[in-house]
Amino acid sequence: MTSPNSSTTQAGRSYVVDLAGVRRRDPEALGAFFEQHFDRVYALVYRLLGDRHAAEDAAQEVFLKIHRAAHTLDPDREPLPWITTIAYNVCRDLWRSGAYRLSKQAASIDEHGDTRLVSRTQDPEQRLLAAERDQQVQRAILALPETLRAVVVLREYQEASYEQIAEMTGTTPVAARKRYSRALAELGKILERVMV
Amino acid sequence: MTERAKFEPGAEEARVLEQIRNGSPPTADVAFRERLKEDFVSGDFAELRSVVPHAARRTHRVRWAVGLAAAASVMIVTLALNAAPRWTALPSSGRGTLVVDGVALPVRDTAGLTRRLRPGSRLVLRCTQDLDLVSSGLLALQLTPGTEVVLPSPPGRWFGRASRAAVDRGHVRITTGRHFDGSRLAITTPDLTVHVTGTTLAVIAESTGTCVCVLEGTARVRPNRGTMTSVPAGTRCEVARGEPSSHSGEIRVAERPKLLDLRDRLKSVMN
Repeated sequence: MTSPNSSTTQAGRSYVVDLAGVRRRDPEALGAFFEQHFDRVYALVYRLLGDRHAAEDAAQEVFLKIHRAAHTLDPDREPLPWITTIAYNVCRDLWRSGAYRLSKQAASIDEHGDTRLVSRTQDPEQRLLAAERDQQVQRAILALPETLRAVVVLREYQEASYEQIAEMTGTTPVAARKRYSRALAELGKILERVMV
Repeated sequence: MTERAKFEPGAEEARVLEQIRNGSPPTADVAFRERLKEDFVSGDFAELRSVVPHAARRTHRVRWAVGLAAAASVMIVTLALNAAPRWTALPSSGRGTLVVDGVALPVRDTAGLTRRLRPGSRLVLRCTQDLDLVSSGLLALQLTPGTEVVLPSPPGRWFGRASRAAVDRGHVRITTGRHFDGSRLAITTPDLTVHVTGTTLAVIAESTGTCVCVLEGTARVRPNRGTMTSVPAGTRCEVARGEPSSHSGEIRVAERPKLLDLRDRLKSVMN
């Protein structure tokens, strides 16, 4: 990301976004902005929540908040940290909600067979194995406590710095780094168990 | 957000990181994506289920409400438990009235008197006999005819343990109960202030001065313009109107049996 106004999506599409237009809520700029950031937002909230329905709820809430706060967007700055913060806050609010806890007790990732973890390979057998492996990794991430899960997801999938993670999660960069290290250790143990 | 760690992963961590990084990104349902894009571009989110933070906010509000209600309940219970027994008028054989904050009530109507008595009430006894007022286990006052007092608040169980009373004129006998321990009562008259920490005593406010007679324990007396003096059991302290000094002596002869009678008669409700 060399310019705050241009980016490549996870799907490899490239967009030039007029952030000043986003501030004005210009439909064309909003469309490009959505294309630029939706995949990343969805992936983030899905990985944090581990449930497709919750992820959809969270994603729409994130874009609702972005739309409402578009006039506060700084066109000279990379918007991703801002978006990530909004998305993380939405997930955190969801974690704290009683409804989410209840749904978490009632469902698990296994029950969502249609969860779309897209494999990059074309070979059906390899695709199946890769999908299985992705689900195991996602299950392992979900098995982490929310504070550790957030650090791993933000760091590994959003490429957030410890400072940014600290700011989002309300801790210090040193603590964020320790949590990251602890999360990896926990993940290692969980993956070892589930992949035997 | 491009800075990766100055973090040097160990072998195990590297293996975990590889598994994480090799994972495929989750993708959303195409129909959902398209619908959300339309809503985002148009700004019309009316049909969206904006449930996420609202639920959280509701939960927060509920938590706050529950917390506040719990705190309020604890406070109410604490205040209720801390509250001292209210003032009760004991039956009197006299005739006449007790004026409570300007309202004259027959002294024989003990229930009516008890209802009207409040800490801070100004009382004037216009009656042929003494009248006993009791806060069970804490404090008892005996008012003699013609006395004008401001009723103290009985000390609380844990807090609010200091209280004040005033004897503007007349004659009040006071005895404290077992729950009074650790409390303080200050009684002011036109001439002095008596500090009581557990005792049986009489405060006699006359037109020429005030006399404090102590049957049990020790009271401390400070004339309005003088220094504090201790008044031990069996003695009296007199302060003449306008005088800064006090005079000590034996307890008044007539006072001793009346104080003994008050203490013994109320023993069952005070101890």
